[in-house]
Amino acid sequence: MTNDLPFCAPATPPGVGGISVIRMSGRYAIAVADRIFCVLRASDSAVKSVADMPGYTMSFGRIFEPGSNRIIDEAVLSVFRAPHSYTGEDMVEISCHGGTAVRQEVLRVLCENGARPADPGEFTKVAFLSGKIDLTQAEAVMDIISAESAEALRVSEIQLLGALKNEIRAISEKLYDIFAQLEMLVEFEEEDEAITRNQAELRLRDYLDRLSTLEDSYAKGRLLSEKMTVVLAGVPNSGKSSLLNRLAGYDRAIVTPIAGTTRDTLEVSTSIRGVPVRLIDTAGLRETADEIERLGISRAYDAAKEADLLLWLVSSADCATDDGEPEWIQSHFSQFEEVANIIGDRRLAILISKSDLVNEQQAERMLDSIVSAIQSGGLGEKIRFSGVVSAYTQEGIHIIVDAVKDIYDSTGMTGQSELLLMNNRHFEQIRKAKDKVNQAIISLSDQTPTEVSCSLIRLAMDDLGEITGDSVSDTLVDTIFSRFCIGK
Amino acid sequence: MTVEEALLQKGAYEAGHFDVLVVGAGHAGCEAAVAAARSGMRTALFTLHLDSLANLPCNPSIGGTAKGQLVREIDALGGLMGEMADACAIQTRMLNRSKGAAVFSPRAQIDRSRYSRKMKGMLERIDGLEIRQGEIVKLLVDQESGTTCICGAVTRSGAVYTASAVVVCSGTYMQSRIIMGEVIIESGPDNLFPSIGLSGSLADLGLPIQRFKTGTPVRLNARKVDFSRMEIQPGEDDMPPFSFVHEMNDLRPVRTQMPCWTIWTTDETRRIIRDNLSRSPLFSGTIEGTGPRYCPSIEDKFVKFKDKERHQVFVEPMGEDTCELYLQGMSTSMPEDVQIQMVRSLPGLENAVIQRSAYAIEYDCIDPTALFPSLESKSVAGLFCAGQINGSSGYEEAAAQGLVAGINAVRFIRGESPFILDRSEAYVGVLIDDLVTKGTQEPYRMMTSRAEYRLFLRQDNADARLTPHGYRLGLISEARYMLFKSKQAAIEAEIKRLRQTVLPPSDALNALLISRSSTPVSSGVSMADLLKRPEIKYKDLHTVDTNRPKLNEAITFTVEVDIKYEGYLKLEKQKIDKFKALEVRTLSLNTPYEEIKGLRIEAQQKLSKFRPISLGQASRISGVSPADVAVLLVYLDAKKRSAARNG
Repeated sequence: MTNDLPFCAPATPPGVGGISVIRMSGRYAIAVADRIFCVLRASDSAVKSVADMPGYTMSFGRIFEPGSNRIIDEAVLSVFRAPHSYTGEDMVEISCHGGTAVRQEVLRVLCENGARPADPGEFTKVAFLSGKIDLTQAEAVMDIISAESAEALRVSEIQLLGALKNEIRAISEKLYDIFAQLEMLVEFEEEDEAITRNQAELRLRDYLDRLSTLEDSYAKGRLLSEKMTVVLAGVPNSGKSSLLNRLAGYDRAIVTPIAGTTRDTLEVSTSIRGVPVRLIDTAGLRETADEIERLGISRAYDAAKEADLLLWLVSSADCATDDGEPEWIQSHFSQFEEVANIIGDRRLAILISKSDLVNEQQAERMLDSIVSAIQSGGLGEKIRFSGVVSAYTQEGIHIIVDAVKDIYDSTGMTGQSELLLMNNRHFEQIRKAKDKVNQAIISLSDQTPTEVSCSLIRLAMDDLGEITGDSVSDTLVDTIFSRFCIGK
Repeated sequence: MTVEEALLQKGAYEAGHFDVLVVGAGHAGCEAAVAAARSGMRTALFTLHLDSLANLPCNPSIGGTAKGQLVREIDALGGLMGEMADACAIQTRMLNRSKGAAVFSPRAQIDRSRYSRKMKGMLERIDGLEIRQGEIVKLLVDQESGTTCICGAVTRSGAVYTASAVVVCSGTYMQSRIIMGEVIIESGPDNLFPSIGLSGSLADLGLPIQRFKTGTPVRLNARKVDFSRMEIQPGEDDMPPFSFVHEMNDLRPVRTQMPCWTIWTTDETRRIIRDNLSRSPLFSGTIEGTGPRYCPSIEDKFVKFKDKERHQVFVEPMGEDTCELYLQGMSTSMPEDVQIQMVRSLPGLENAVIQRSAYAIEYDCIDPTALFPSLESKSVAGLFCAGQINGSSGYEEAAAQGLVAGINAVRFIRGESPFILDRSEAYVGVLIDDLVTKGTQEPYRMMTSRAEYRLFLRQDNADARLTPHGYRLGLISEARYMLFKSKQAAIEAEIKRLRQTVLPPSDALNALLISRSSTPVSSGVSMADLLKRPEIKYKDLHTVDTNRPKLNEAITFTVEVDIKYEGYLKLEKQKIDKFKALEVRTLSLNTPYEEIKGLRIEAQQKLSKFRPISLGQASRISGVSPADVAVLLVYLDAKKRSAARNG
């Protein structure tokens, strides 16, 4: 049965690195490892094979192809024995040399000798199913796996310790308390000790605030786990690719003086002052008959939709007029408007690029007239900052770097509270719960019957319970009886 | 014991064969017997005393919060209680009128001796049903290929009946004893005989027995009562009847409403109770059974809620032909001499004459988790239990279970799948699921808070929810079903009309809105949208709604609530869909839980012992975690996949 085959997968990210780690889990993981690994040195000289290895020990040895005895790599192998492993099953971790070819060879011999490739997230799933971790923890682990910056890892760890769960439980308990008291109003006539609708409404508002705080923390949590998206946009040949290369720290994009060189969006992951960033270079926006270029342009608009920050570049060469309105405004404003309308307020930077081609005053003048044109076009709200940059001299690069850090720090909460929502499912549940609490507040403020408010609060608690795995109603009757004297 | 062994006992004789035997003729037993007989089964109904059939030994009333909903559901399924209560009501009220529609609850004071007499006459006229005074003391079983099956029962007088199914509705009679202070009497309620031996027979068959306690207050003679010192509580003339048939035919149950009264306990009451607490069996340790928290004795209330200085007492009539009054809220197990003092400390009752004493009663019942949701025993095939034997309390809770047990006894005999209502369909479903899945540590009373989908489970739409089931089960006549269909069609048509009728802004409309403190409109608005405003009622709009058809109030009530609650119902509906997704994943009764990888040991043990019928039921068993449910889901999927592969 396929279910009994141990499953294996690389635990380190793809790409070239010093070492690669491959994990394998399942009842027969150790037996499979024994078929392809020969122990050369171990902590104890009695250890002759993987099967001899106690849990939590390592051996040095060789990975070989069983049929031909061809040696694939030298590696260090660690053994974890059930139930004392991450998945709760027997597990083996092989640390081999980095590099795609070696890793694929190791996976191949494993799979040809009794293992199978793991399904996505299967290690965590098995850990969850064997009761090693609960649902919130499982999801946090998945976030850790994909967390790329040190800060994201810290937040994931806190979540792993159940801080998120504690906060949600705390809110649930408070909601429950109000709920139980409102239930009294619904269930029994004239219970003088019960809460009034007004009191309930006021208290609910507090918990709505706490849910909002959690909800808002997702913006930062998402940045931490998903990276901040910075999009470079502008008309062709405005210097986007040069700037991308500068920000990424290496020549990622091909740069030529020919307008329309970048025909598709191009993405680079980088870190700007510790902030994980996804830099996206886009095709220059213009009317074109070229089918491929048109596709590229439509992708540029898609990228703009996701932008946490959109850098709109205007080449100083494009607006070199002596007086009055720069030519750029007349010829390219419509393309600009289209992009500006897609993005959120204060998400836009206006940058005069290639500032090395003009003098400082000229550049400032150009910037002023463009910004005021944008403001009079009713799009002033979109602008976060503006400046003059040169990828060549590095002038103004620090403005962008500062702004990235600034956006990152100002999104959601800052340092003092570390409780961040990072997982989209959690965010959705919190959002749903908040929406229902909000409706409950409204229902308590007008003539809607209390039973409706109760229904909404119950549903909100269910939404939260889906994060923590708790169910609501078992204890309701007990709560009611322990608090109130019921005569009838 | 087998039939052959039973016939060897002294005085035993063959008394014949029935399809279904029903043991006990209280509210559960009567429903069960009639449901079986009307389904064409030869049925025998046994009672300890024929003149106490369908007795109301405690409160002379039917319905109330959550219980009223149950009665409407029983009626919608084709049960008896609604029609009987309508026929015997002496006062009717819709409780919670000031609250939301979901907790509107009909309640009626019942003429208790008329109720019993009428029920007897009705049962006597049903074809295929025999009613018999006699005490069942033993159940008979057979072993069939490893399964224990019910096959009959024996009376105290030696009659050995054989049967295909048995429904036990023993109420509070099994090994019961009555307690008043230091005095203990082996007795059933109302000085009727207790049932001796039956609970031992059930225990022998593997049903776990628990001991519960409940109580009842004193009954007084109204002639010595000063009503001028009490607050009168009149009935409502316009309360709709319990029965949907009566409702659609516009039959109001009560001709002349008899009033009830309310009073409050005094400092003197409190003092008497405090001074005599040591004589209360509750605190002296005489009573071992677990009593209900929602219906505590008056001494319990004063002890547990020390800060509360007084408690409300309701004075209720017991019938039209009698002067007897019932003192609701004064249930006690104090000695008789203290009872007299306590009663006379109440305003207006200074000269009261007690006709019957208050008492606590202890009785045997079973742990209902020994039953499937069909109410069939997990250890004995064909044996069903319903009513207070399952740890519930209340006439309505009993009747609801009796009806379901009767229906399922029939389906068992016919080899059909059991009839099970889920928690999203009916209070009946919530009640039975709570009992058989969670069990109960005290007499279980229905409360609206127990229903997760309360906005759906309303008294007004019980027929929409359940009458199609009743029709399919053969308990609803063709004529009634047609009446039902036309009512539903009228509801639908009226909702559609209200959605489609757009009122232009007019002075008349805005004046009306302003008079109801509602925002005036400046453009056209549909009647349905206006109705969604909490401050606007259906009847408010009649002046601007010129094409309004003449409709029965039962119809307009549902129309109004369905429109007003539309958004909220939708939210609950989403939740129901999720709930149902687990309910429909059936678990085979011989699922090998010990072999399922990933289930925690506690869950394996609980599930093996419990044998849930669905993943949904499994998820509600205490000790089964969401992670266990996830494992079971994976297991079911894997099983399905391998079954598909093996063709």
